[in-house]
Amino acid sequence: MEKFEELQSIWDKQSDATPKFDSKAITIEANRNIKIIKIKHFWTIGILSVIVFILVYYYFWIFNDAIADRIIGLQLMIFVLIGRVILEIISIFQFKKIDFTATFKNYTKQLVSFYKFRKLTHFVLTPIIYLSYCFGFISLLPLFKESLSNGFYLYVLISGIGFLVFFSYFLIKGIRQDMNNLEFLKKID
Amino acid sequence: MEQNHNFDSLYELYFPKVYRLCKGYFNGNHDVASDAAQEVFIKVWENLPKFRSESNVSTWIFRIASNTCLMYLRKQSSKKEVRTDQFSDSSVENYSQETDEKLSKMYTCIDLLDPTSKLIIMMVLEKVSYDKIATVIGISEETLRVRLHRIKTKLTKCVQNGKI
Repeated sequence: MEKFEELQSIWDKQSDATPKFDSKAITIEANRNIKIIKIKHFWTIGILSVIVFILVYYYFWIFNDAIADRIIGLQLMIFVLIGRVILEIISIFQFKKIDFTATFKNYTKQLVSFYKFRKLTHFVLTPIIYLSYCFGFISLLPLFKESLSNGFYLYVLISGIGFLVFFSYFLIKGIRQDMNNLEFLKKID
Repeated sequence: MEQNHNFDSLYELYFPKVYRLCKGYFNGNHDVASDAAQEVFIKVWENLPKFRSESNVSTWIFRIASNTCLMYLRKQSSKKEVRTDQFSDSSVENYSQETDEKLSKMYTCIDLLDPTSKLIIMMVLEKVSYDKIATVIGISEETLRVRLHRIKTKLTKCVQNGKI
C-alpha cells in the first residue's frame, strides 16, 4: 500500500512554477481591468438610458387619443422590457456584492444564494415578462395591419417573431448555464 | 509606491503556491492554472488597499485563490475543456518516468475528489498549516483533521488502484 508520505515526496519533486508575467505586468493588467470595468459601466448605463429614452419617446410620438386604448400592448412591451433590464442590473450588482475574500464555505453559500435568485428570476419573473411581451406584441398586430402597408406589416410580423426566437435562444442558453452552475455548487460539501 | 513594493514581494512569494493550488484544481492543466493564478493576483492587487492586517496575508491570498479557482472550475465544467493528460513539460522535469506516472496519477485522482476535498489536499501538499487551511475553508480544525484522514486514504488508494 502506497503511503501518503510517499505521495508527498513525489509532489515535492515538481519544480516551482515560473509566472508567465512579472508583477509589473500584473499591475498594469489590473489597472487596465479597472479602466475597462469603468468604461463598461459607463456604456451599459448609457445604452440602457438611450433604449429607455427611445421607447418612451416613441410611445409619446405615436400616442394620440384615438388609439390610446389600442396601444396598451405597446405600453406593456415597454414596461416589461424596462423590468427585464432592471432585473439584469440587480443581478449584476448582486454578483458584484459577492465577497471573494470570504471563506470557501461562505463564498459557495453566497454563490448558491445568487443562483437561487437567478432561478427565481428565470422560472417566475422571466415567463411573466416573456408572456406579457408576446401578449403586448400580438395585441398590437390588428393596429399594425390597419395602419401599415401589407409589406411593412409583414416585415413587422417577421422581425417581431424573429426577435422572440433570437431572444428565446439566448434566454434558454442563459437559464441552462445558471442551472448547471447551481447544481455544481449545491454538490459542494 | 508602498503598494507596489508589497505586491512585488507577495507575488514572488505566493505565485508558485497559488499556481500549484490552481493546477490541482484543473487536473494538472498548466495553461488554465496559469491563467487562474494570474487572475488571483490581479484580484490581490486590486484589493490590497482594502486588506486589513488583522487577518493573515497568506490566508487572505489562499481564500482568493480557492474562490477564484472554484469560479474557473465552474466555467471549465460547462466548457469541459480540461483534459486528464495535459501536463506542462516545464513543471514536470528531471525525474524518472515512474515518478512522472505517479504524479500524473495523483493529478487524475485529485481531480476525482469533490471541490472542497481537492482544495484541502492541495493545501496540505503545499504544506499550508492546518489552522490556515481551516480558516480558508471555514471549518473547525477538528473537522478538518477528520476529513483530511478520509481524503488521504482515498487518494493513496486511488493512486494505487486508479479509482476513488
